[in-house]
Amino acid sequence: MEQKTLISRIQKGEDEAFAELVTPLIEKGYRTSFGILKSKEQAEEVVQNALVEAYRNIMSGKEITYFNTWFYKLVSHRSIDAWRKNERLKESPLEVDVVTDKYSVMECLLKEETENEIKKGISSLDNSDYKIVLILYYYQEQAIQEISELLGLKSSTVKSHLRRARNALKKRLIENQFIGVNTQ
Amino acid sequence: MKIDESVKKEIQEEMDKIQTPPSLYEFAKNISKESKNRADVEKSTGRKRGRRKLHFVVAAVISFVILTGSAFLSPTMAEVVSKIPYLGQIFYKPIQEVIWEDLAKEGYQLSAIGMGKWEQKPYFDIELNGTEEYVKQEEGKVINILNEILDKRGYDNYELMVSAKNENEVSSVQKEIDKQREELGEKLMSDLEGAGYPIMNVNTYGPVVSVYIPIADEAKKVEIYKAAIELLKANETPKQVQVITRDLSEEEIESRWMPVMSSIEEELFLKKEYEVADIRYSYNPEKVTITIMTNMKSSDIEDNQTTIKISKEIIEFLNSEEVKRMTENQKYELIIQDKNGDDFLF
Repeated sequence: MEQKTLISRIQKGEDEAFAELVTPLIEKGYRTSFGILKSKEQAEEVVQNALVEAYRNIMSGKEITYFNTWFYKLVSHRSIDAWRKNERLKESPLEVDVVTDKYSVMECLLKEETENEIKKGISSLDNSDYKIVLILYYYQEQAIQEISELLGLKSSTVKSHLRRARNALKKRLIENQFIGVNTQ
Repeated sequence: MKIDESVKKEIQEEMDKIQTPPSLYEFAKNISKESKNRADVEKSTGRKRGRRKLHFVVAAVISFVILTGSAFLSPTMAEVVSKIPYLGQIFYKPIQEVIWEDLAKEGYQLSAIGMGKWEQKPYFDIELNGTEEYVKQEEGKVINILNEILDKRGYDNYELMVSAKNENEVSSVQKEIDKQREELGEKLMSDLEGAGYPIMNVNTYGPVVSVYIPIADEAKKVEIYKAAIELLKANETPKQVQVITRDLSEEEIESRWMPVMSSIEEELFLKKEYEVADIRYSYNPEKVTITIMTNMKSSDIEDNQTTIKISKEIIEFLNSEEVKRMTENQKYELIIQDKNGDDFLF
C-alpha cells in the first residue's frame, strides 16, 4: 500500500498501519544502530525511540516525503547521539565499564577464524569513527556531505576515512592474493 | 571486483548477521500506547537528570498522584505574592490544579493531566475517565474550557490533547522487560547494601545501570563500582555501570526552590513572546544559578527589551519576601542566553 495512504490511516488512529509502514524498515534500522553502538540494548532503545519519534511526527502532521530515507536518517542520527553520549561517558573511566555487549561486528569477525581474509581486512579498522563512516556510506548509502554533517566532520575527513578503509582492505586483498589490483 | 564493491559486500554480509529483536516489531504494533508510555517515562525520568530538570513537568507528574490538597503555597502567601505582576499570579495555584478543578466543576472526571514538552512546545494531555467514544464527543468542549483557562493567565504557547484513560497502557513485552529490570535493580541494591555499601538508589531502567551514593562516600566509588560489576556478572546479567554521587545538601536546596522554579517555568514556557527553549539550574550551596535559554537574538532591539522584561519580572519575584523566606534567602544568579548561547546583558 502506498505510504501516503498508510500515513493517513495512522493519523486516523490505526496502529496496524504504522506497523505496516515500519516493519520493512526495522531490520535495517536496528542493524545500523547496532553497528554503530555495538550494544543490543542501546540499539533496541534507539530504534524504539526512533519509532516513537516517527509516530509522533506523523501524528503531528509533519510532511514526510520519502519516509524510508527519513526514517533511516533518523535512526542514524539517534544512534550517533547515543554513541556520542557513550564516548563522553568513557571520558570518566571510573564510571563506565566495557563489560558486555561491547564487541563490535567488525571485532567479532576477527574471532571467527573460519572467516575469509577479506573480512579480516575490514576488521583491522578498529577505529570507531571509521566503522561509523563505513556503515553510513556503504550500508545506509548516505552521501558524503550528509555523513559529514551528521558526524560533524569535514567532507575531506569522511573521504579520507573511506579512502583509508579501502586501502586497508586493498592491502589485505593483495597480500592474500585474492584479487588483482583492479581498484578505482 | 572493485574495491568499493568488496567493502560494500563485506559490510552488507556483516550487517546481515545481526539478529533483530522480535520485540521491536511488537513495539511497532502497539505504537500509540508505547508513545504514550514513553511520554510518561520522559516526564518522570526528567526529574533525575539534574541540571536540566523541568519542574513544570515534574509538577504534572506529581499531579497524577496527589492532585488534591497540594501543599503549594498557603492562600495568605499567595495573596501577598500575587501583588507582583506576571509571575505572582501563579502563586494562586499551579495551572494543572486549576485545570483539574475547573473541569471537575463542569462535570468531567479526570484520571490524569499530563504536562510536558514535545519539540519545544509545551503540551497538556488531559486524560478523561470514560470510553473513547465519550471522549471524542466531549473533546471539543473540553478544549474550549482549557483554552479559556489558559487564556485567562495570558498563556498562548501550548498544545492540547484530550484522551481516554488507557486501561491497558503497557504491552505485555514491555511489562516483562520492566519487571526484569525492576527485579534486577532490587537485587543489586540489596546485594550492595548487604555488602555494607551506602546505596541511595539503583536505576536499572537504562542501558547503563546507575548506582547512586552520597557524595560523602565518594572515596568508595571505585570499590562500589567494582562490586556492582561483579554482582551483575555473578547474576548473569552483566551490564555497564556508572556510580553517581549525590549531594544531599544540593537536593535539599533543590526541593526548597522547586515551587519557585515551577512558577518561573510555567510563565516562561507557556508564553510565546519569551521564546524560551530551555531552562537549566544548578543548585550549589553557595549560589543557585538559573539559566534561561531563549531563541532570541542579542542583536535584536525588541528581543533585548523582552529580555529586560523577563529579568525584571523574575528578579522582582525572587526578591519578594515570600520567595526569600522559602529559599532561605539564598544567593542566586540569573542568566538569560540568546539562541547562540551568549548571555544577554540586562
